[in-house]
Amino acid sequence: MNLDQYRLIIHRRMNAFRAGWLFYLLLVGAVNIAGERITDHPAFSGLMGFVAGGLLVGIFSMSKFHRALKDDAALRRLYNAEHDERMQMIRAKAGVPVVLILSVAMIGAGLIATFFNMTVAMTLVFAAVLQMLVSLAIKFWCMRTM
Amino acid sequence: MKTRIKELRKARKLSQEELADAVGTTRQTITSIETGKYVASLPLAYRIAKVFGLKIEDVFLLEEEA
Repeated sequence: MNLDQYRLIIHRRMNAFRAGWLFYLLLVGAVNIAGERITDHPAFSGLMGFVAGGLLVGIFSMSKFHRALKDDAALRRLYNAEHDERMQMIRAKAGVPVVLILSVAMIGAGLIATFFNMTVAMTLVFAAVLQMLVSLAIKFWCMRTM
Repeated sequence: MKTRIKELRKARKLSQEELADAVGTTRQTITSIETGKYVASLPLAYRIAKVFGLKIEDVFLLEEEA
């Protein structure tokens, strides 16, 4: 892959991030229009928190992407970091991206479960958070030892 | 697996960052290979050897050879 192709991928990621912000703003708009009718439900506050958390984490990546698009050397470094074979092995050992996909699915299931049973919902969300923390711990441990 | 990367790099006045950029990897990976914590894949070993203008076996040494 050449740098121009990678630049397009970065643009695509930034657009996805902007779409995420738009979705969040729509949620905030829904609060203003519908008021307490929907905001009282735990699924809604859970969804707001989940999206906001994702967007806050994404801000860090966005600043990296902005810098990379302005400077070819930074873009090359970002590409190297993303395709680095050692980091790919570490990510594989930490279960990325499967753990991340499963965690998002479990949180989604947890949000739906709030309509039926709060205990099940909380269990799903805690299990998702716990497996992400375990994955993160494995990643840091591997980064120290590899 | 032992390597002569550090020695060769210093002889050519190359920093870890410069070598990493030249072979398409990160400085941390070069550090890990130099300290023996990580064994480079065959394509990466080939690219590293190419930067130094040597054969893979001149840069990477098996323990029994070292």
